[in-house]
Amino acid sequence: MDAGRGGDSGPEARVSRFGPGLWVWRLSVALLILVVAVGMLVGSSGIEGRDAFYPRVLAAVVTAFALYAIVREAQEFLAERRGTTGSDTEPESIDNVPDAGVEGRGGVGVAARRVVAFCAVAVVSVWLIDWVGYYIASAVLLAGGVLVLGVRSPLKVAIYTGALIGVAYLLFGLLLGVPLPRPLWS
Amino acid sequence: MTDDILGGLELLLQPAPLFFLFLGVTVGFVVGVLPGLSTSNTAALLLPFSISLPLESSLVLIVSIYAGAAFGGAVPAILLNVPGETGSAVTALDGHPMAKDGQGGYAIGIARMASVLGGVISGLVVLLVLAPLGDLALKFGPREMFVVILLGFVVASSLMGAKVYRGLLAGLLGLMIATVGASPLSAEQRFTFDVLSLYEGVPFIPALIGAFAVSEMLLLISERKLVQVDRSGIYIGGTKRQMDDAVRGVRTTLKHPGAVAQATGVGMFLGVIPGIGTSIANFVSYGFARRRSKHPERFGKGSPEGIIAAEACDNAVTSATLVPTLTLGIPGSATMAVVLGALLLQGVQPGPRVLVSNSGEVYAVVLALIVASLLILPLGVLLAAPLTQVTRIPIKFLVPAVLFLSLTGSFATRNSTFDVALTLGFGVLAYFMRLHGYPVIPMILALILGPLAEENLMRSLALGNDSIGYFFGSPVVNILWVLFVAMIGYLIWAGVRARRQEATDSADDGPVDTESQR
Repeated sequence: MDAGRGGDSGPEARVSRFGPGLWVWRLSVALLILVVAVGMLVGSSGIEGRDAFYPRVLAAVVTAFALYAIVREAQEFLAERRGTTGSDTEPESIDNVPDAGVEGRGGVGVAARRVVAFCAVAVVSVWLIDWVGYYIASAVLLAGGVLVLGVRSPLKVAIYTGALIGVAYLLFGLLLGVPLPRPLWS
Repeated sequence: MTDDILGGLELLLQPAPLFFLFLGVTVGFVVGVLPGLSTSNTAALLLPFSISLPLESSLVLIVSIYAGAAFGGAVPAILLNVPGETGSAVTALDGHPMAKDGQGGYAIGIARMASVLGGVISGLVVLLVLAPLGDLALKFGPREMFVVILLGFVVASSLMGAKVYRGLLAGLLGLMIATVGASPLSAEQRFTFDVLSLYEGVPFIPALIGAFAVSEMLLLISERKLVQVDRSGIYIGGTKRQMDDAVRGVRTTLKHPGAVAQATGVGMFLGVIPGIGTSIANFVSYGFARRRSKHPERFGKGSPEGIIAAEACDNAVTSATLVPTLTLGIPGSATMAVVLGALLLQGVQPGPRVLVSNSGEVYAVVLALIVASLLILPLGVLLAAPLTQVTRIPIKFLVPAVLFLSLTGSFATRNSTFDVALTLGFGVLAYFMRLHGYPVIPMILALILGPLAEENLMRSLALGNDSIGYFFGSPVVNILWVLFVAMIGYLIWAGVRARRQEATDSADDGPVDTESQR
């Protein structure tokens, strides 16, 4: 996700280097919303009578606004690439606030592999819930999560996972009586 | 009104609400101290578990967390220069220099007293204005409510995020998501793709937890280097010194009544505007205080007035956000969106009628905020030192635990694994949006406002026989339209001005000045 960075000889060389992938990445949120709006516009044709009025009008408004947003994003992206509006690595959110972090930086400086690995662990554990039950799936989430985030001591992973699962069992299973999913074999 | 207030007091002074008040303030301190866990995240996480509580206890818990966190965020801001909450960043400007001079406890003492005064004064004002504003709001018919919702949506969405169009687009996405499920007119299913779990619409809690808590955790682990806090200078002395510092803090704050009043006024004024939030309000308050001070040169170097400006304003905003939330059903902040979520989950329709149908609970909430602000004084003295140790929890252990709690909370609401997957989906969507500078709060506000907007629009059309003229048929609605048009005009003007400023800045090779809030 570092693609936004320059490092070349001049603005024109930088402009010529960004390909379709970078464009799509930069415009992705507005594009996604445009696709949803168009889908809603098409989908609303199947709704009958007055029920269709609000979603149809809303979808039309969002389509128009998303197109406007795409144009604005494209203009800003071009301007940034040409170096006319400051650095593209400058965070756009909360000026001078120490915890602004990577938010609003278009993915610049993001530890992408760590985030993807962490999300993968989460997706797998959610998928597992219906098969192996809540506690085992949660153990996968907790142990996998800390492993991805750099904890290498098996003892620490085991104690951390065991302690949280134990607290969850006491709190949700016994105290609150939440009917947590059970394994298929039970 | 007196009867309503007394009714609220009676509800609040029961053992259960009082217990949740104490619990909420304490949890709020912890949340405030921990960078990465915001008030709205925590309130969203607790929402599924608070459903089983009576309405007043559930609401008292959420607003107490809000009040506690408003002060709690100041502790790491002062001692470590790491704001626990975004609004506390302003507190760090003067608080941290004092901590580096060995005056951390004293700075916390000032922040504590300023928080108490800001919260109590603004809470009392809210208590007095709620009924008259509620009476006014009750006169609104569907067409007025539709324009108010439209106005609230545009104001809230446009004020959040680095760019106005991004906030609005995020809000529009939320409005689209809100159309999923049964139509309010005929209950015909729309955009559900035959998924049974979507027949009642996109469930609010998974969306809320995903957008706030999960995305926040993903942002925390996105840093190349998982942030570790520098803990030098964290020591604030033994019990006796902490007590001395607390008393000195009280005295110093009371010596600056003008600064307290001004910061509270700014916080109240800006807090009633949906979406302003504490970060912008605190910066504005700080700017005013510096301009008005006899010693502006001391600001940024350890000025007590700077701390008062930030902290009194912070807690005043907290109370003020209750006004649009309770009178119009338009959340004044992300945490207030959770309050509205709690009302919805308990079967109470947010909006002006809440002041009639649930006046006791509403006033109990406002009173709880005042009492919670008062509690900051003793609990803050007791908990400040131990809570600084909370910052020792490494992010690599915090993040999986919060995600685990988030997913469990989502499941517990409807016992549905679909909701768990939806939480994760919303988390990834919100993370993706936030990476690109799109705020997620408008999306969540729109999830609440969307069904209300549709319902009022369709009712208005029915009442006016599908005539557009009906939407301009009363003086009140015309005033609201004027406000709406003025707001749109202002946004266009501000956008043009910002672009010109950017062009000027770039020509001068100056820094890009952008503004945002969470």
